[in-house]
Amino acid sequence: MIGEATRRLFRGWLLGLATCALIAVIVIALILSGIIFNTSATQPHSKAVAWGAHFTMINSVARRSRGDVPTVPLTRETLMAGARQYEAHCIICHGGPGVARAAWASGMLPTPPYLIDASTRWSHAELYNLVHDGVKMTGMPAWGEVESDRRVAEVVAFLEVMPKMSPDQFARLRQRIHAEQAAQSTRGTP
Amino acid sequence: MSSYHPIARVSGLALIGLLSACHGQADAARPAGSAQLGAITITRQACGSCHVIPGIEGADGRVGPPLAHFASQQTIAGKLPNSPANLKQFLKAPRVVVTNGAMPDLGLSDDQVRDIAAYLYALK
Repeated sequence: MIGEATRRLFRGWLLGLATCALIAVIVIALILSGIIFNTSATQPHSKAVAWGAHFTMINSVARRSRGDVPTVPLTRETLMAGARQYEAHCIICHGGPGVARAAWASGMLPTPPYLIDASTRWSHAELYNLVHDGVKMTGMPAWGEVESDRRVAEVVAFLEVMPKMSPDQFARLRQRIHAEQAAQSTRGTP
Repeated sequence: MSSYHPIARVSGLALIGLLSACHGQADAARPAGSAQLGAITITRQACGSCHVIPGIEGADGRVGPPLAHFASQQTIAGKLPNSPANLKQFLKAPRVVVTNGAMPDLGLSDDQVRDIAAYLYALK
């Protein structure tokens, strides 16, 4: 036997639920139609959205980085291999000690960060997974799709050493890599 | 504060008021930039990956000096006295001011520099 009070409570609850559903449908329609969400990269996200997206990424990366990941020994060879890749794939968006990103990187949203303190923000496994798996909706590619695990581990090793280099040392390293490449391309031409 | 004598409190507040009045006069000498646009430029240039900057989402970098209270900071990069002109000089060519510094030349326009300055000098 249901009392009158219970019935009224139930009706009120249903009415409240229907109102919430209606509001949700309207909000979703406003987002999907592009009225209240601007996908252009001209204006930064609101602080709340920027915080929410970044916080979600930090937690998602941490959650998926609990296992072991490949590691390469810190030798001159592995670090040079990592530096070559950093020069080829990373520096244009992320810059380096004393080196700016390409000017167009500031047109990206979210904008790619400089990585000098990346190894204090992220654990080794997190850095490996960030490079290997990329980050959705940021422009960061999943390098594991096109490079071997060893290559990814080498670039992570270099990222972990980068904060210990002075900008001058970093500049000299880049000069060496450029010289290597120039020597290779002259050898390559008949 | 609550333990101070009422007269001390009132005169303290008056002193703060007087100081901020003097501060207001100094505003005229500052470059006319927009702090709001400055916040956008600071976000876009990823300044926060190296600096702690209050009011900029995610600006918690531990590479360069924190920029909280920039307006009362006495030097820029420990090299130049803090003035709008020197800030412009540093932002335009950081590696000329600090040889072998980690702060890169970002290729900022004059307007971007003015806007960044407006934002930083609002950090009292």
